[in-house]
Amino acid sequence: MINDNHLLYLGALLLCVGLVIVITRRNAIVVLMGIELMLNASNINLVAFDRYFPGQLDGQMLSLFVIIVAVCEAAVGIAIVLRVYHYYDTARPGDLNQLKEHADRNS
Amino acid sequence: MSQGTLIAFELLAAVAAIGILFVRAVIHAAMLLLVCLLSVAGIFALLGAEFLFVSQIMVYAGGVLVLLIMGIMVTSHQARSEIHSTAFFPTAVMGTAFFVFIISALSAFRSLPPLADGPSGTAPAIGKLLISSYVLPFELAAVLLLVALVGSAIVAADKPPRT
Amino acid sequence: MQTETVDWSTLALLIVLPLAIMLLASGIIPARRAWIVPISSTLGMLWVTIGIFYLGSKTNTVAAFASIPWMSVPGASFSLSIRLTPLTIVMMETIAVVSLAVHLYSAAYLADDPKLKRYYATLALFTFSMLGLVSSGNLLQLFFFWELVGFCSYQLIGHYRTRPSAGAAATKAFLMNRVGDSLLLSGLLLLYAQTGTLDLEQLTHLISADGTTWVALLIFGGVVAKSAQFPLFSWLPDAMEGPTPVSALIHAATMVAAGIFLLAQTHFIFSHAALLVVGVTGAITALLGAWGALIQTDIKKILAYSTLSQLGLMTMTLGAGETMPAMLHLYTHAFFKAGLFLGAGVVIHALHQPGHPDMQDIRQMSGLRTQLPLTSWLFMLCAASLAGLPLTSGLLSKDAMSASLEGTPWLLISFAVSALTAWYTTRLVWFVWWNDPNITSPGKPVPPAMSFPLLVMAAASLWFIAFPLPWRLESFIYPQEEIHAIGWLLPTAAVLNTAVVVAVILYYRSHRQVKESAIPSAFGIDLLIQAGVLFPVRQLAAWSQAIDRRIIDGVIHLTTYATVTTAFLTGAADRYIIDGLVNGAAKVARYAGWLTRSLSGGNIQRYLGWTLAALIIFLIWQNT
Repeated sequence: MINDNHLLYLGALLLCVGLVIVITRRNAIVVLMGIELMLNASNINLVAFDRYFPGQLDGQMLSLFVIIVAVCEAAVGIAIVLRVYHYYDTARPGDLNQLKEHADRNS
Repeated sequence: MSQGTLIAFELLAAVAAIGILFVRAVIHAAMLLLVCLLSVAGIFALLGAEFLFVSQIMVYAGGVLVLLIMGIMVTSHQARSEIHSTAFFPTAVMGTAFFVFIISALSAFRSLPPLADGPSGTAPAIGKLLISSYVLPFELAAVLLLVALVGSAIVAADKPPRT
Repeated sequence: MQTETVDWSTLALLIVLPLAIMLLASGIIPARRAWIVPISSTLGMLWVTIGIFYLGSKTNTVAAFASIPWMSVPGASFSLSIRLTPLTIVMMETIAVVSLAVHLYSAAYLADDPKLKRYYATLALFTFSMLGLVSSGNLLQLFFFWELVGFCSYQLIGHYRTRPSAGAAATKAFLMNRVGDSLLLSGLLLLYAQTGTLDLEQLTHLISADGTTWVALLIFGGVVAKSAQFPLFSWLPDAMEGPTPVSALIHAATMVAAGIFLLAQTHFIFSHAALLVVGVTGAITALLGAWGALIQTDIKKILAYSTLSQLGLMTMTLGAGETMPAMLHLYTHAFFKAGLFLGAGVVIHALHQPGHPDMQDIRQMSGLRTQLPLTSWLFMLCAASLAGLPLTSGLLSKDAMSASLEGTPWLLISFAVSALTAWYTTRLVWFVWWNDPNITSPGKPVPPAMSFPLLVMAAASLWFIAFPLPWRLESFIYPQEEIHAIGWLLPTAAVLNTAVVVAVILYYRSHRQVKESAIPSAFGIDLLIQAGVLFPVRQLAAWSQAIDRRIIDGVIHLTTYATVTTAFLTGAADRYIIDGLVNGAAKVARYAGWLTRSLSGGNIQRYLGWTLAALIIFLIWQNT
């Protein structure tokens, strides 16, 4: 190891992978998974930064709140996905193009 | 706790996360996500954040993932012709570029202190902090959770509510 | 020889009219009334021919000639010409009369036929072809009509397409005629190579009969097939599968007459050796035909073999170098043989029961005289002419032939065939009309459209059709030609034939049975052809097919592959390079449009993607 920044590298990797998942995957639930990955990346970073200040626990507290927000996000996201699925019979964000002009479908 | 175990967990998490990007079946993606989240939980444990370790396992592995799998079971009756909806390669290139930027930014960063066996037993301190200096965020989080619970129940209801 | 050029348009009208009628009949007229047009046209044509005949006899014109240029290549030119000689005019008249009778007769005989329009169209084409054949002024033109005649006979013999035997008979007739046609064509080519012209008028002046033996024999090969001479005769009895009126036409005036006519027309080509071959062939055919007619039991086949026999007689006479007696017999034979076939058709028509095959066996039709009285008397009149009883044209023309053969060995065969003819004709008449009735067929009434042509043909079987007096061999048909009249021959023949007829009647009166024949069909000639010709030909075909497949096909396939590969490469170059440039430009424009449009395309994931792109761009910009 050149340095001990590998935790931060992992966080960066998870962030980028999550981002690419969110942008490219077809299924909305996998998109939610990508968001979870990005949130986890932030948690890893927060806990790693917490090591700089051993006396304080602010990093861990912040990541605890991140977990809470992630749970809320997941619950609401899944609810929306189910709703959309019932309504449009699809779980793909790319198919939700009712507000779009139809000439774009073929491109 | 050794440095090697930590790196092993990190590699496991990284491989699982990249795997999500490529697997075809959604349920496989969920399983890989579970592996990734558990690895992250292990990392938390190795870093001495045992409260976060427990929260990670209970909330993510026990809650969020069950929620996702339930969503998969309800919605995954569609034929999967392709797994990527928008252009995958440009996005992957951009993601890699983003990663490279972050790494290059981090290389200028000073290194973290080496991991000691680490002080354990931070849970009581976190509990005290939650009801002292973090009591307002704690209460707000409670409200947020309640609102999310009610909101998702309403949104996912069979019939849309009357307005 | 005096030659006179006549107005082209009249003659063209005369020849082409039935062809035009054929086209009309196949198009406009409803099927039920399809007979009207060909019959009226044939009638008009008949008047024209009679007019020509009359004019010809009045002005004493020997040959009329009309011609237009047809085709010319460097070094050779052919003209489309019409040549009318007494021979031709008589043939035309015969064709017109018999064809008219057959047209009229068919209207009743085939009234219920679903393919009546096609039948009439082919019949008119047949008549046209035969008229064109006899009036052709050059041999190439004649050859085309010759082919047309063959094709029409193929069509008409195979008219009942649902019967496999009809199809086989038609194919057989066609194939055997192909053999003859190829011989004829080679003969014509050889003739052209030797003389440089195929024009009959020029040929008569050019040719001396020496050195043309091979040409003559090749031409005679065509005649052998067309006129059903030995050994290519077996298609003619099989051709009885066609409708009976068609048989009448084929046997009397059109198909088989074409061969005899060609033989007479090209008579000057034949050398002595060739004539000997012709005579021997004719003699064999005459005897075989007579024998066949004696042992057959099918009414139509008896008549068919009888035709063979008479054609053999004519060929023999031609082989002896006597043209006009043979043509005279062809002329008289046309009428009484047509009458016999039409009468047989009446019998078949009357005995026909729906759902059953046509009854044609003479053993089962005894004693029809009481049921079809008029037909029986008319039929017997025609038969008397065939048998050569006194007062008939048959006796006179046959004896004209015999008289011309006087002093040669052919005379003996001629007498023998005449006696046999009298015998089988009497046998036929006896069993069909006179024997004890053993069937109680209802006997449908004979429609006038069938009995009237029969009446005409029967009347034409009497002496006045060709001779002013029934006891003198002075025909007005070919007045310019001399016939060697021998005083004792005619009465002798008449007495001989009558004696045979009476003897046969007495014989059958005591026996009354027809014996089964044990002779194989067509005297085994078909079997011989099968073994001697078809088998080697099939072997040869198999070998050449193998060569074709292995070597020639190989080369062709190689060429094909090379061509296809080249084409593929060219196509690929075209598609990827040339089209690629064009399509590439279009794709760039399209992609630019898609790119800019997807910025706000309503797809949330693309929004995120562009956000990421913007972030990357920002980072790059900041770090540089």
